[in-house]
Amino acid sequence: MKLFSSSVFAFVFAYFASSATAAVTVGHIENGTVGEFLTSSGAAVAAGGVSIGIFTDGGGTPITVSDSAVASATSFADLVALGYKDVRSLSGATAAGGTDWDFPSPVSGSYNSIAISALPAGTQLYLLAFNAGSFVSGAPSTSFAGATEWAVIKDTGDHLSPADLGTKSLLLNTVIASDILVGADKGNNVTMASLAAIPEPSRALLGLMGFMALLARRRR
Amino acid sequence: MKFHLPLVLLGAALLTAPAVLGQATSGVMGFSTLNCPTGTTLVVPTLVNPSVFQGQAAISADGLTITPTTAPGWAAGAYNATSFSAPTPNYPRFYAEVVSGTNEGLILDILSNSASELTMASAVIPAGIRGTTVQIAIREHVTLDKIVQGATGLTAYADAANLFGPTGATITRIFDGSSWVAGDYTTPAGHSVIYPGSGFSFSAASTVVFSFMGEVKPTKTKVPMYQAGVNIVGNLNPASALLIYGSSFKEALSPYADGFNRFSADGNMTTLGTYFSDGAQMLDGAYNPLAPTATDSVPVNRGVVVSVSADAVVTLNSPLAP
Repeated sequence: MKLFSSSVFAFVFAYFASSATAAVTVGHIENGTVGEFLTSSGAAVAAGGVSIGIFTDGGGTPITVSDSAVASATSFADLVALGYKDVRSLSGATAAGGTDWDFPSPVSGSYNSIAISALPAGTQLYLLAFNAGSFVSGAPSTSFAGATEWAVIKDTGDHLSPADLGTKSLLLNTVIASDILVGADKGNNVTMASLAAIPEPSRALLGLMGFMALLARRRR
Repeated sequence: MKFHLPLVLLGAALLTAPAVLGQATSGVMGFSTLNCPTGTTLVVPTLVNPSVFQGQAAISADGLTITPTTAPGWAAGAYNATSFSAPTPNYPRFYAEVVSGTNEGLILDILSNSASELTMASAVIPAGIRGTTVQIAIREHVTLDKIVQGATGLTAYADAANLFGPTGATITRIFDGSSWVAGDYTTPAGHSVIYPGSGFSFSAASTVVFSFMGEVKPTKTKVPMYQAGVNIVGNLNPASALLIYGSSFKEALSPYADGFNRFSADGNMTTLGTYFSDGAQMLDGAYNPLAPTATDSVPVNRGVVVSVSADAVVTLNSPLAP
């Protein structure tokens, strides 16, 4: 009987304990104080936008993706293929009034009510910027179409999702050079880098070998 | 008339009748209710226990003891922390509070006392206060047992409170019909402490009405906020909500980095707003300055959840000295 009672209590409590979990907020702002994304030439970004997201498996559970895999992406679709999800795609995400994560500046705002189940506390958040297009919630893989430059921030010390009910504001002035997977650290600012296919060393080597072989044949 | 304490106050009688050896005074006593619908509510009690001592006291150089400049004649052990055997948790029962000067509002837990001296639970912080003489008041902590006095609608083994520690740990307490037990449903835990200006997440199976009684805090309150913790913070005003515009959060939050969420009071914990600071003024969820006319507020006896990028302290004004 005691066991039964405990089970009932545990069930009842589990129900109400679960109702205590709510949601979290993720925000981002750029200005002269906390830093801004800039183009590779150091100019203000005229188009494109910012994405904050995580990598998940097919079931929505956060996963770890190698930095090299992230950095070698050549489009937002590549990131989506790796499991990238913008926080705007996560359950419950609701924009605070006035939120605008698209360039040109001012870029500022937050998304609240993100289900803690979709964004567990302590999950590594990635902060991305592109110089063209915008986030397409209905078809994420088509987001930021036409971008030729981008930046990827993985701030392992500060850009972690908040505890339940909490808020995380992702800023650029906390970022150090080692946090930048793509782009460059310029004080509080981060400059973008080229978003283009970079030949793998093996392919380059194969190309060089072919060229050498061609030269050798012509000499004969 | 900046401030109103209407029906919530039992009396505005500033009684100066001594409570202990002529060294304690009782202040403005208050009464305040909080309706918690089915679901989850962030509860931050707005009233504190009356002081049992007030006077000048010297803090030792190591910060571990506090000695009144005039012999207080305390009963040894009167302010001792609890000393239950495991697994029952132990808590401080009383705290000394600095009630004037630059450290006004600082809460210092008492471990034990002799007839003339307090031994603190840990060396007092900030270190700069060590070796100085300050005006203190001693109060008994508000506990979960104190909070349920006069409450209606509580459901045994269904209603629960989640308290959050400085490290982010969640401490679950379950109402057992008369007091509270720990998450194992058996260990007594009604003596769990709720610090001034801090609160807990309360889950109710059906509507619960808390009836808080106590003293309206006459001095400032410093509420610590931890980087690793879930910080439920609320105002100590039993009569009116705290307007977020102009609140002291603007100085307490690290500019643009720290923020807090405000939730609905319907039990659903719907996020009503997110707030940041630029160091000089409060910002909304889009990082735009709140207008002076903004009515966004922290409701009476409720709290917001503050996230900080480094441990910080917010200093809340007394409703009696805004």
